[in-house]
Amino acid sequence: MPRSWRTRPLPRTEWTGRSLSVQLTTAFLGAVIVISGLLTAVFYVFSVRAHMAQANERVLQQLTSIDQNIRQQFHEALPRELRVLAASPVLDEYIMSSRLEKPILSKSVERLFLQALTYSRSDEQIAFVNVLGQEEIKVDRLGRRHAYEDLRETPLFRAVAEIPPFALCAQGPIQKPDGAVSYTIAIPKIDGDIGKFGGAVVVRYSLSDFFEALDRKRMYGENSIWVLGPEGQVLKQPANRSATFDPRPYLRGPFHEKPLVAPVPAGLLAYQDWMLAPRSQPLRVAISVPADLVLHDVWETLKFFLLVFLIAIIGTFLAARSLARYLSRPIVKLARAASRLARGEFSSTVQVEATGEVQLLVETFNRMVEELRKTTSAVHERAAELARSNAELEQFAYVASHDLQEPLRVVGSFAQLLAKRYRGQFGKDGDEFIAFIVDGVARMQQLIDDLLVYSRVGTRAKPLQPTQTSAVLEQAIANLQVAIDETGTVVTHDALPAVLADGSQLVQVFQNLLSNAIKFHGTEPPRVQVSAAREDHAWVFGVRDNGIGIDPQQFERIFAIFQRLHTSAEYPGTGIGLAVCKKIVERHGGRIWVSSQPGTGATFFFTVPDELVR
Amino acid sequence: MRHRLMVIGGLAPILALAWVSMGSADPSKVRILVVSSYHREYSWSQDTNAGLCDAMLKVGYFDSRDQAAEYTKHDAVESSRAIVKKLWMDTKRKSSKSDMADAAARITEQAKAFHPDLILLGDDNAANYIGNQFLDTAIPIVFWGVNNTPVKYGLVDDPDKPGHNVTGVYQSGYYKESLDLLKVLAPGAKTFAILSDDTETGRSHLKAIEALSREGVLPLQLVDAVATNDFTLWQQRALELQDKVDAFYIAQYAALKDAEGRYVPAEAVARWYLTHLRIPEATDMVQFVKQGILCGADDSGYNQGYEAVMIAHDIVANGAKPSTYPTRAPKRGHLMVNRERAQMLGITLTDQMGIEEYLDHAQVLEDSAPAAH
Repeated sequence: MPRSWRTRPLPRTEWTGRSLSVQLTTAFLGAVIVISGLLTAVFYVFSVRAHMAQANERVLQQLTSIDQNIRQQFHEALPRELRVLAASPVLDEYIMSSRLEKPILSKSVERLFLQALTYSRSDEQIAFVNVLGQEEIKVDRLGRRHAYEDLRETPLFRAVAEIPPFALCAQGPIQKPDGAVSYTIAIPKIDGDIGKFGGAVVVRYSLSDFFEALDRKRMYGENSIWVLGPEGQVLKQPANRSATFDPRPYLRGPFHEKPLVAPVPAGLLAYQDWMLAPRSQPLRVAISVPADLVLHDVWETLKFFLLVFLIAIIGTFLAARSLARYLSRPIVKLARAASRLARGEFSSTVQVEATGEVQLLVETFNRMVEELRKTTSAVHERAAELARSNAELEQFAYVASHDLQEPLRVVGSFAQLLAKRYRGQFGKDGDEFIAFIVDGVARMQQLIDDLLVYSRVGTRAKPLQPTQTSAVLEQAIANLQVAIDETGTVVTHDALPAVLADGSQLVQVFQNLLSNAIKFHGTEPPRVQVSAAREDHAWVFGVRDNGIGIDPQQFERIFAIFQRLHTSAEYPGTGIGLAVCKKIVERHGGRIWVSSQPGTGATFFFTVPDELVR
Repeated sequence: MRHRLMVIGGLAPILALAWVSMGSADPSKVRILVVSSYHREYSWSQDTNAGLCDAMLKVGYFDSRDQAAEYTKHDAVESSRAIVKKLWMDTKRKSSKSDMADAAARITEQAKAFHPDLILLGDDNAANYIGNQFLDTAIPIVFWGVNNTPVKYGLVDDPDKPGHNVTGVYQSGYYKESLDLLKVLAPGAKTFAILSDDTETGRSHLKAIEALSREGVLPLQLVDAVATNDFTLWQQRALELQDKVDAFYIAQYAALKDAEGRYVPAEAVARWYLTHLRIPEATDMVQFVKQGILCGADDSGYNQGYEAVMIAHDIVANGAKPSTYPTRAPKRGHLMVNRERAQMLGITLTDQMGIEEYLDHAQVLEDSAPAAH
């Protein structure tokens, strides 16, 4: 059984990426949120457009209604009333009367004016101004007035003296301290005697009725109508300020005879300017409806939508979680089973209720586990057999080599005794034969020693522990010091790391490789450089020499036991050193190889896993 | 026999008038009723009558000068083409409201009895009081002598398009031209005052001049104005103003009354004026210049009467409609100067003054003229 199979811990299985539950939840929630968002956005956009368009239409209708009011009240009724007054024969008679008659006729004119006040709520005061601009007759709602004013220098009088008969001119708006707003409107009176301007009827006309009519206009249940003077002064504003916004910051344009509707940041603003009376300064009527009021229904609907969407999101979250659990449960069980399988546990299969593809996957996995269990069991049996066989073989080799040493030592001792005591007694051939025996015994002894070393790699191995390889190398050099000195070998090395190893075996590896470098030297004194480099979770050690080099075709062969590239006469040895190195390196989980060309030296590399780091 | 003939001669006009009034004449003849605001002796009335008669002769409603004279004398005549009758309101001498109402009622009754085919109304009061009685009837009405504007009394909507059954001739009042002439005669004059009676005619003249003064188109500055029917007051104010102004404008003085309320003849007023006032004066009334007022641009009464008949002829003979017949004002008459008055004032008249007509004598200074009280 390979060592790594049982003793090495499996790398821990970690989540990479998001779980199925998270993915499903994310996907479902994302879809719901995106769809909800899109629906909300589409609803919002279309609703806002529709409501704004509707609001536009409504404010235009209001402006149209106001326009009709103004036309009826100020452009039709008021001029008609003033023209009737100005055309009154009573006034004609007054103007054309003699000075003696005037005081009498003025009473008739006063009655005429008082009667007009009775019929027109908006008339506050009516006066007749003579051709010189002096008031001659004046009445108001309290009755006749005798505090006459001289209007000759006023713009109103100058204007009314120039305009055609039955035309009107006005001064205003005039705002009193109490906020009441009025216009002073004048109509010229033609003196029938001369067919020319003979004075004017001047009416102070209150806008209170007009403002009350505006106050009664509602939009979204509120009144949002402002009336501004020509200088932007507020003449009327909505009672409920929360139902409107101040339109003045947005009203910078010139006179607008036509209605103008414009969305502004604060909401919807529509306005139109009117000349209530000819030649008067324009009034601006503005309808400023806050966006909250226009879009109130939209907000309410959006709130309902958001509630529905919130419920949908929660529901989707719960559903996604449940579905993810339902779907991932067999997969998680499969994963756990696979994890157990990775740890060599083949005992249990996955038992989950699933349908469709997942069921197929579970069944396939279970079949795979069964097959793997059978295969692994067979492999285990074979591995056990092989291990047992190897152990027996190693034991046999050890025992054989150990037990062979004693008789071989006896043979060797007696052969040397024969050679020493009976030299020359058996003739020249006898001495030569005895010398052959001694030499053969010595080589056999060497073979047995080497074989013992080879077999002890497996049988006398020590546990791996942190080992400083520089000390290991020093030990190897010390063991070879005699040969090094004899051959003048120079051994150098880089900084060497600590590794997890069997120190004595690692000394054996360095010693064998240094020994080979010294043995297979060229004409130059041997130079050996030991290096170490870290690559892919392992240390790569290199032992480079300047020896005779190796034919690349022999790279595989030299690591086999008892394989030699040279005769004993050329280079002594048993051909077991590199095999020992290979066995020790593989026991440590590494590998060994060589790089060389004949005549250029050779570099042996071996790796040791960097277990210390792990 | 002589007595019989005298009786017959005296009754003839009465019978003729009665016959005309009864309407028994040939229906093919045009029946024309003429109503004057004033009285026969008033010189303006005589001027307008002269123009009327000449026009009648010209268009053939009078066959001869004798018929014209008969009409002038008896206020009625029947020619080969027309039956013409004249009525007097006499509002210069009877100018109170009640007098005018009585006159209007009387004349309206007579007019209806006459069954006129056309009515000619002379001057403002006739136009106002009689015209309005027949407004919007089938009877065409032509007025003359309406002061300053035709658009008054409700008879005409628009000068160019009257709109009713009334059209006519009005007096534009050549006030500026008269004062321009005065300025030529008396270059040193800078200020003036208006003297007028307090009648509609007088007031209309006064107000028209005031309006021109406000417009700044007059050569002299208007300082004051007198408008009263009280002759005593009128005299007093005139004498006061003589020392304050350089000239007078004589608007009207035909309706002044003395302290007892009696009518003061215009000639008497004029004689008093000429004998008591020593600053130059102007008027637009030609009869006043004839009486002795220094100068004036003739707003001719003759032309008024003449033009009115020409319009009437267009309506009667040519089918013109009053509602679409534009009103008009005759062109200015001559720039007239009274030599005697000029001499009284020490004004030397020259040809370079642009005077178009001279009147050598002041009528009111002749011996036969009535005297003011």
